[in-house]
Amino acid sequence: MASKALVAASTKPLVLAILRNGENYGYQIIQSVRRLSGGKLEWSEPMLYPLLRRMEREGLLSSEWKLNENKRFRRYFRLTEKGLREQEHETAEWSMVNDVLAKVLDPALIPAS
Amino acid sequence: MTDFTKDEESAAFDLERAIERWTKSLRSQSAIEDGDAADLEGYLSDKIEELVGQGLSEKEAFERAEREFATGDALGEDFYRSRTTSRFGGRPPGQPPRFMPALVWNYLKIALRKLRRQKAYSFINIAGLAVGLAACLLILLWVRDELSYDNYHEKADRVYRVTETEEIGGSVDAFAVAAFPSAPAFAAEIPEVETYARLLYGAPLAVVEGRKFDLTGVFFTDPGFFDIFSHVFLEGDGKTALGAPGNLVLTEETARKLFGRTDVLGRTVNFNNDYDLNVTAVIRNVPANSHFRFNALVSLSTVAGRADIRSIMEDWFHIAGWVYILLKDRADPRAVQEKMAAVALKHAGDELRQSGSSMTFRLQPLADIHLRSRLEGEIDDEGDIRYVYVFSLIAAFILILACINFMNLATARSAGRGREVGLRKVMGARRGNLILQFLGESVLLAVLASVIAVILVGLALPSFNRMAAKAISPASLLGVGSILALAGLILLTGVLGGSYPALFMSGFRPAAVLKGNVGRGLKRSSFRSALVVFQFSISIALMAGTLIVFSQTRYMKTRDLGFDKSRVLVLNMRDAAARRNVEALAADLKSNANIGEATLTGGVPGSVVTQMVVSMEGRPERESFPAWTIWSDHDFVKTFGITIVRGRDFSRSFSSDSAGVFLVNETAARRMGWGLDAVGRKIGFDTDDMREIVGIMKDFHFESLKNPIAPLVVRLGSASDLALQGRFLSLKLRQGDVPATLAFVKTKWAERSDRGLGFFFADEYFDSLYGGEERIGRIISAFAVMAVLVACLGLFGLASYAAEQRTKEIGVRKVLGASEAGLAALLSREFLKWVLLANAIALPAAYFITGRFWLANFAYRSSPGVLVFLSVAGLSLIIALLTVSWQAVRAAVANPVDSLRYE
Repeated sequence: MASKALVAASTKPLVLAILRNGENYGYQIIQSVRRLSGGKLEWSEPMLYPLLRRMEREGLLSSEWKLNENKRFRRYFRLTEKGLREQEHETAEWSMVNDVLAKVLDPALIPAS
Repeated sequence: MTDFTKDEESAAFDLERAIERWTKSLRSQSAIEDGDAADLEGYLSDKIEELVGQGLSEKEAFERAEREFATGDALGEDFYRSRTTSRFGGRPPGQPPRFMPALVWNYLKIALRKLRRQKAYSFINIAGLAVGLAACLLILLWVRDELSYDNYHEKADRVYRVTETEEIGGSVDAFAVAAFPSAPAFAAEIPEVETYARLLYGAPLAVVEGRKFDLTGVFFTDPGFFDIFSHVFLEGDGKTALGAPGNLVLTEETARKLFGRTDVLGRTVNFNNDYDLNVTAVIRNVPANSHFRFNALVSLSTVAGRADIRSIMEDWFHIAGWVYILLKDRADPRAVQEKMAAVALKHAGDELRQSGSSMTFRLQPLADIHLRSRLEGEIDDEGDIRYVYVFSLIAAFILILACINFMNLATARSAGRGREVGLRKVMGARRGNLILQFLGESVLLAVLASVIAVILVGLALPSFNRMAAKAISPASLLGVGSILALAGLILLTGVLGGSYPALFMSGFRPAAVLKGNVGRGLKRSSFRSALVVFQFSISIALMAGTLIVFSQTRYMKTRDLGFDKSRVLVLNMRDAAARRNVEALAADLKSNANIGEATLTGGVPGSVVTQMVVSMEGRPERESFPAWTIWSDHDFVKTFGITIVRGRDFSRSFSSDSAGVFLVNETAARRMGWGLDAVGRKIGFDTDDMREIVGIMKDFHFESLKNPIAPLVVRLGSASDLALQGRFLSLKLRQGDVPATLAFVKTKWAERSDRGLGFFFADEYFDSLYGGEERIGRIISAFAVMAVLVACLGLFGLASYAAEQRTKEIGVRKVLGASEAGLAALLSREFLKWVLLANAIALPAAYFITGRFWLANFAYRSSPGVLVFLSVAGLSLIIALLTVSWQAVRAAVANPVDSLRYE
C-alpha cells in the first residue's frame, strides 16, 4: 500500500499518463491503476472524480459524454494539447526524481566531477 | 436454493430507481452541481455493472457500490476542494453562511412589520403568551416560596423535630408534639444529640408600665433554641438570651408594639399580672417562610416549676408541646432514633407495660415539616407537597397552552409568508437560516410577552398573596434566580412555540409557494385541531377541578353537622381570673334577653384538643383507648343543640351528677363495646375514679369533615376542674340584634377582665377549618380562568383565520342563497366539535384524578354530581361558541360583493 502523501502526489501524473494511451472514463482509470500497480495503488472515487474535474478546469483534459453499451451516458476524458505537454513535463520530473533516488542508493552511478 | 432466493430478491429490487434516489440524495450537497451529480451517477453505474459482472445480484451490487462510494458529505467536501482556490477550506461556493449579520436588520424589520400589519394577531399572540407566562411565573413564585420553608436556618440539615406515635388500645395517633421529659433524657444519654429546644405555646397578657397588651404566638422554650434555629439579633445575643428564668426575647414587631422602639434590653414586661420578665434580646421578625412563627420567646425555666406546668415537664405521658433537637455533624438520624427508643423504654417502660400501650419517638427532618408532615397537633397550618406538584403541573400546562396558541397562530398565518419563504430560498437562504429567522421572531415575541407578563405579575401579586395567604414580595421577581428562570422561560416558549411554524414554513418548496400554491395543506390540519382539543381539555379539566373543589367545600359547610352551629357566640376564656368568675359572668350575660343558654367547656366543635385515655369498669386495662374529651358544665348539650339518643343530659336536679359523670357519643359507646347499653356503666380517666355514663349523644361532627367521627366523651367537671380546663364560654344567641348583643357582651367582659375579649362564632369558626381547601380552590379557579382565557384567545385567532380563509366560499354560498344563520353555524360547527371532544377527554380525567387524589382526603365527601360535569361542559361550549361565533357572524354577514370582488 502506498503512503497517502505519495498517492496524492502521484495521482495527477498517473492520470495524465493513462490518458496518453487514449480516452478513458473514471471508473476504468481506477481499475487500470489498480491492475498496473498489482493492487498496491487503490484510488477512491471521491478522490479521483473531483480531481478529474479540476484537471478539466485547468485545461489539461477535455471531456465528452458518450452513450455506452448499456444505454447509459458516461463521461470520457482525453488529454488536451496542454495536457500532453504537462504529461511530458511531469514524466520528466518524476524520472529525474527517480534518477536521483537511484544514484543516492548506488554511489557508483554518480558521475565523477 | 440460494440462487432462487437471490433471484427473488433482485426481482423486487429496481436498480434504476435506487440509483435515482442515490443521485437525488447528492443534490442536498450544495458543492455538487448538477453536472457532477450526473457524473457520479455514471461512475456508480459503472461500478455496479462490474460488480454484477462478478456475479453479484443487482441489489447486492448496488449496496456494495453505495457503501464503497463515499457519502454525500465527503464527496461534497472533495468537490469543493477541487474548486476552491483558498488553501484554508472555508465555505464551498453556493453554500450560504449559516448566519449573516448583515441580515439581522432585515429580519428585525420584517418581524416588526408583521407585528404592525397584523395587529389583531400580534395582540392575541402576545397577550396569550403574556397571560400564560404570568400564570406560570406566579405559580413558580408560589412553588419556590413553599419549597423555601425553614431553609434559612443555617443548621437546617441537622435539625429534627421529635414526633411521637402512640398506640393505646389499638388506636394509633401520630403527634407533632412529644413528651417534654424526653428531650433532656435524649440529650444526656445519646451522644449524637447536640442540644434541644422544647416549645410550649402561650398567649399571655403583657403589662408594660401599666399598659396592657394581648399577646399571641409566645413560646416558652429552652436555651438551645438559638443554637438550633438561626435568627438575626438586633439587640442581645443567642448565647445568653434564654439562659435564665425570666428571660424574654421579643421580635422587632412585638418590641415596637410594647415599647414603640427596639432598643429595649433590660426593660421589664409583666405577664398575666403574675410574673415579671426581663428583655434579653430583640430579634428580626420571623420570616414568613417558617413552619412556625412567634412574637416572643420566654425561657422555659421561668415557668417550669409552676404547679400546672410541672406535670408537662416531668410526665412522659403528658404531651403538650413541641420538641426540636440538633444532631451533631454527620450523625445518622436512624441510629439516633433507635437509641431514642431505648431511652424511652428505660424511663417510661414500666408504665407502658402496665397499660399495654406503646410510644414511638421519631425524628422528622426540619425540611419535611412544612410540606410533608401530616401529624396531629401541628403548630401552624402546614402546606402539602402534593399541591406543590399539582400547581407545578398546572404551570407547565398553562405554559404549554400558551405555546400551543403561539404555534397554532403562527402556523395558520404562515400561508401569508409563503412568498417570503420562497423568495428567501431563491436568494440562497437555506433551511437552517429560515428556521433561525422564525425562531428568532418567536423569541422576540416571547420577550415582549414576558415584559408584559412581569408587569402583570407585579400587578397581580398583592391579590395573589391575599388569596394564597402568602407574603411573596414583588422584589423576588427581580432576583438573579428569577431573571435566569425568566430568561429560560422566554427561550423555552420562544423555541417551543416557534418550532412547529419554523420547521413547517422552512420546508416550503420555493417553486410551489411562489406559484401561490401554499395553504392547501393548511386548512385541514389535523395537527392544529389536535392542539385545540388538547388546549380545551386542559382548560376544561381545570374548570371541572375548580368546581369539584368548591362543591366539596360547600358540601362540608352545608352538611348537617349533628349540632346547631348557628348563632353560637364563643368567648375565649384564656384569662384564669375570668374563668374563676365565670358563674357570675354567665349570670350577668344571661340577663340580656338575646342570650339564651351559656356553657363553659374545655372544647367546642372545631376546637377539641384534649385527648384522654378512657378506662372501662370491669374491663382489662389494655382495652382502654384514647378519646377526645370535653370538660363541660351542665349546659353543653343544650347550648349546641345536640341530640341525646339514650339516657339523659347532665342535670342539676340529679345531685349525684355534680360529682362528675359522662356523656359519650355513639362512636365512643360502640368503641366501648356496649353500644346503647353503655348508659349506666362506668368509665374514667383513672382506674381509681370511675364515673357513670348518664347519656349517649347522637354522633356529631366535632372535627373537620376531613376526619371521620371519633370517640368523644363529655365529662361534667366540678368548678375547680373547669377553672383549669374551661377554655370557652359559649353563648346561644336568640333571634335579635347581634351587634348590639356583642357590644353588651364586650361591656360585661370588660367589667370583669383585664384581657381583651377574644370571641368567634361557632359556625364561622367551623367553616374556617376548610380555609386551606378554600384557598386551594380559589387559586385553582384563578388559574383555570387564565387557562380558559389563553385557550379562548387561541380559538379566537384560529376561528378568524378559518373565516378569512373561507371568505370566497362564504361569498359564493351567500350568492347562491345560503342564510346568514346557516353560514355562522357552518363556521362554528367544526370548532364546537373539537370542544365537545375535549370535554369527552377532560371530564372523565378530572373526575378520576380529583376522586383519586383529592377527594380521598375527606372522610365525608360529596360525590361530584352529573350537574357539575354538565355545567362545565355547557360552560366550555358557551365560551367556545361566543369566541368563535363573533368571527363566524362577522364573516357570514359580510357583503359577498366585497369578498368576491377580486374575481
